[in-house]
Amino acid sequence: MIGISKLYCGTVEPSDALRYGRDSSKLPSHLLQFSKDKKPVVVWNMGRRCNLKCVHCYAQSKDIEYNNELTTQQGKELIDDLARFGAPVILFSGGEPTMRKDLPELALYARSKGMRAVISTNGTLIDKKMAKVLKDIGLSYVGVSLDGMRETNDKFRGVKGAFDAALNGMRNCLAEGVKVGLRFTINKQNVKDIPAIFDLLEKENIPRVCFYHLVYAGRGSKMVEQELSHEESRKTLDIIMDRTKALHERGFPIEVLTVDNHCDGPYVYFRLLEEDPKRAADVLELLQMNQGNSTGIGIGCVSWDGSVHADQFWRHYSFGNVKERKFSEIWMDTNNELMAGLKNRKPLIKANADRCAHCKWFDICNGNFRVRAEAIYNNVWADDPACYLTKEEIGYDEMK
Amino acid sequence: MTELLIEDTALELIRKELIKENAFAMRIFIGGGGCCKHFEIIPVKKALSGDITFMQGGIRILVEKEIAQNSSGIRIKYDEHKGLLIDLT
Repeated sequence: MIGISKLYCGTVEPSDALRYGRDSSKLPSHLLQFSKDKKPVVVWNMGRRCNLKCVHCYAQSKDIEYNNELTTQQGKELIDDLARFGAPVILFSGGEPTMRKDLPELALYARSKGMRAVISTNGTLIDKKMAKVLKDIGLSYVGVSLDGMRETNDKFRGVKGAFDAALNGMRNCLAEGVKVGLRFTINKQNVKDIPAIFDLLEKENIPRVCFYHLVYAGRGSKMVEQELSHEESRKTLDIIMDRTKALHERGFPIEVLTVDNHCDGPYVYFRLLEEDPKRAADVLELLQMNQGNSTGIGIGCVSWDGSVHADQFWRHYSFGNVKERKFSEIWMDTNNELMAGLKNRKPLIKANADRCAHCKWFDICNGNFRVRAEAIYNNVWADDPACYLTKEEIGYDEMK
Repeated sequence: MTELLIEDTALELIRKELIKENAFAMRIFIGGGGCCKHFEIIPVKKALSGDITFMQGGIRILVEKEIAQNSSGIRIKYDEHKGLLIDLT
C-alpha cells in the first residue's frame, strides 16, 4: 500500500491501530515487530458465498451454498494459531463475510486474542442492526467496495441497486461510529468516476479511500484488456494526488491509499522532488521502510476451504491446508520453492526480469506484483507489466 | 508530552539489534497501510521530520509523530512467546 495522503500531503491522522490502542488497558498489548521479522497480516476469505456478481471477483463467488468451508471451530483454531504466530491483523473477507452468521463470534474471538480485526465487504447487507453488531464486536475498520458511481458500480457488481445499498451500509457504519472506508478497483471502465468518488467521500464524510490497481486473477484475469495503459495510470495517479491535496487544503484530511502497484511510491517521490525536495527526502526514507510488495511475507491468505495462499490473488497456488497443518508451519516452510522465492525474491527477479534487474527502485517496490508477471509472461519472476515508470525514471541505463 | 518506558528485557533486545545493525537509532512507526496498519520497529540512520526522540539506557529511540501525537504514554515490554509488545495510553 502507498499512503498518498501521508506521503504527498504529510498528513498525520490517528490511525486505527492508535484508536484501538487507547483501549489497551482493557485488551491484550499490541505486537511491536522488528520489520525484518514481521509476521503477515492474514486475509481470511471465510466464506465464498456472495450476493453480488462482480466481474472482477478473484473468488469467483456466487450466491449459493458452498459446503467445504472452515467451520466455526476450525476458524477459532486458525485464529489461535495466527495469534500465537504473531499475525497482527486478521482481515475477514469473502465472498461476502457478512453472509457468515458466525462473523461476529469469530471477530470477537480474534480481538480477545490480541489481534486487530477488520472486514472487507460489499456493504450491501449492513443495515442498522448489522452496523450495531459490527460496532459492538469492536471491529477496527470496515472496508466497503464501490467500483464507480451508481451506473458504473452496478454494472460491475452485476446487481442493480448495489451502489445505493453499499452507500447505505457505509452510512449505517458511520452512524454507529465504526470507521469505514471505500475500496475502488481501477480499470478502463471506471477510471472516469474517480473525481466523482472524491466528491462522494467529501459529501458523505467517509474518512478513507483505497484505490486498488487491477490484478489479473480470478474473474479479474479476464480483465487484462481493462487494465489502464501506463500513460493512463500516470494520469490517474496525478488526479488522485491532486484531489487528495485539494481535500486536505479544504480541511478534510481524508486518508488516501493506492494498493497493488508499488511503483506509485517512486511516482509520488518524483512529484515531490519538483514541489518540495526537502519533504521528498523523507518520503524516500518512508518508502524504504515500507519495503514494497510483501506477498508471501507480510501478507498472506487463507481460503474458505482452508487452503493457504501467498495473498488473495494467488488462489491457483496452494501451499497447504490449515485443516492438515498449521498456517504458521506452512508459512515458514521454505522447502516450498515458491514460498522460498517470494521470501527472497530479489535474486530470482534480477535473473529473470530485464527492467527490474536494472531498476534503482527495486528495494522500494520489491519487484512489485508477481502474480501479474505470471499472468502475462507465464514467469513468476518476470517484470510486472503494470510498472509504468519509464526506463529513464528507473535509471535503466545507469544501472546497466 | 508523550512518555516512553522500555522495560529492561525489551531494552536489551533492542540494544542488541541496534548494535548488530550498527544503526544510529531504532524507530517505532506504524507499518502497513489502510486497514492493515501495525506497529513496527526498525534500525535507521537518521530521524525523519516530526519524529520524537527519546533516550533510555544510552539508546536512541525515535517515535513517529503519528504515534507520539496520539498517545500520552508508550510502554514497551517483552514476552517470551510473543516478542516485543507495546501499550499506548
